[in-house]
Amino acid sequence: MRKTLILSLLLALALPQNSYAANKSVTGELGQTLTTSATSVANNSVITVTGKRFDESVGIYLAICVIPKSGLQPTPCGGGVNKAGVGEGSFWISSNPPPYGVGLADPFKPGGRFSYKIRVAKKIGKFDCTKVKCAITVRADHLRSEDRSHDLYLPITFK
Amino acid sequence: MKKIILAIFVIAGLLVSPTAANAQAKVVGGPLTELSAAPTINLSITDFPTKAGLYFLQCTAPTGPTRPTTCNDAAQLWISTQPGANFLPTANIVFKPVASYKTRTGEEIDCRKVSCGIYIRYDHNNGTDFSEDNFIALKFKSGDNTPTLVSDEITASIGGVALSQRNPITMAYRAPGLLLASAKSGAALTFKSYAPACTLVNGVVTALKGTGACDIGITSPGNATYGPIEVHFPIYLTPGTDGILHKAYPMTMKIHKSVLLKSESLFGESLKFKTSSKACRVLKNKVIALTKGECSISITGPGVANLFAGAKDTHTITIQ
Repeated sequence: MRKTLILSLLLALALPQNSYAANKSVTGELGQTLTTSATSVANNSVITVTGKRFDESVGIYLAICVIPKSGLQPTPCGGGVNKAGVGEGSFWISSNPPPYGVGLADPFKPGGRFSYKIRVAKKIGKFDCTKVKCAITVRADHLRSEDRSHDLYLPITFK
Repeated sequence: MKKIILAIFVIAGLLVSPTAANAQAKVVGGPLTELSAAPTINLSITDFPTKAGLYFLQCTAPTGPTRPTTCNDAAQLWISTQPGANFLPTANIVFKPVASYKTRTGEEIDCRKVSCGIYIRYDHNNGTDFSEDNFIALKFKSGDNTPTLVSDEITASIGGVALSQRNPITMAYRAPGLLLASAKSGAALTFKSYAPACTLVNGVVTALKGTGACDIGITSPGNATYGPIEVHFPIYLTPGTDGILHKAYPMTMKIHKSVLLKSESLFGESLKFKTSSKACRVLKNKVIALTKGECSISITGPGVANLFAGAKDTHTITIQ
């Protein structure tokens, strides 16, 4: 009995974890962490997404995007630039935006932090997130749009 | 025989003019002719040397084997991957010479009358090596009756510390400093942070990283007496120190009452609380007032390598 239990435990540890829609947090190469209040969401619901220890010298976009093939730029993404708070799906976070971005981008809080309430919609353009994989996504802003080293994905599923 | 060969090499070395461009670095760009009194020249470098960085200086053309000394202090660039350099070797290099300038010794140079150009040489890390010495001639428009002006002089400070173009000051991560500057001309100045590691908002400079360097550029348009100038002040960045906002914590508590302390530091890290005071007890971030007296709580938080040291503070609550 004990052997069976140990074997079961070892098997459980050895099997690949289905992190999809389970992990509420992801940590990037530079130690930056993206966390969400929920990964299993209802259409048009509002979730809280926070970030910590991000590189404050690199501007980022936070949005819900269709997960691309590995190494490709996340696209399409929902929402637009949002200054109102609740109700949109995209945020530009930059402490040092170009002149035209002043007032559009939100600066990082000390410690490379941010916190937003995002309204999640299952449709991103013609894509349906119940049929394709979508995620809460961080990517470098348009000043470094080809730089994939800042990409982070927290996959979400719709109830 | 060996001595003769050596002598030939020494003489040949002496005869090598700085303009004899055997330089590895290839510099292209322009404009180089028909220049206005204060032109902007865009340059790029290929085959950048690996030994050290380069200096770009506006000087009069060298006339012999020695390096030129009649140079414009206000038109100098340091191209390097090292912190504090004006441009990276791969960058589009913006060089701003002027038609006339005053040297360090007070000599007035009019580049419409004498040959001037961009003198390129190894930086201070390989200063005795002449192999990258090069000279790109510049031709300023003649007949331009712009008066010879002495470049404006800018003095600046951040947080009360004087800025220097040669000796960078240091700034800690997220320790803001007020930038103050003035020009001899009295002209209104414009400011810009040239490195993403520093922000410059409403005259306050804030470091966004705990290592590396920033470059604050200050421009004066000059006036009728002083010529325009842009100066760059390098800043080295150092890790900061996290902390707490004491105002967010209670100063007094009633006996037998409890309170939850703010558990996040100024930089968003999770704090730990401890006390050895008999007047209170601490459970995670909950303080319970036991008896009248002083409740001294030590507060610590984690640091982040190369960014900031963890919070380490004490907060005292008087139990009444």
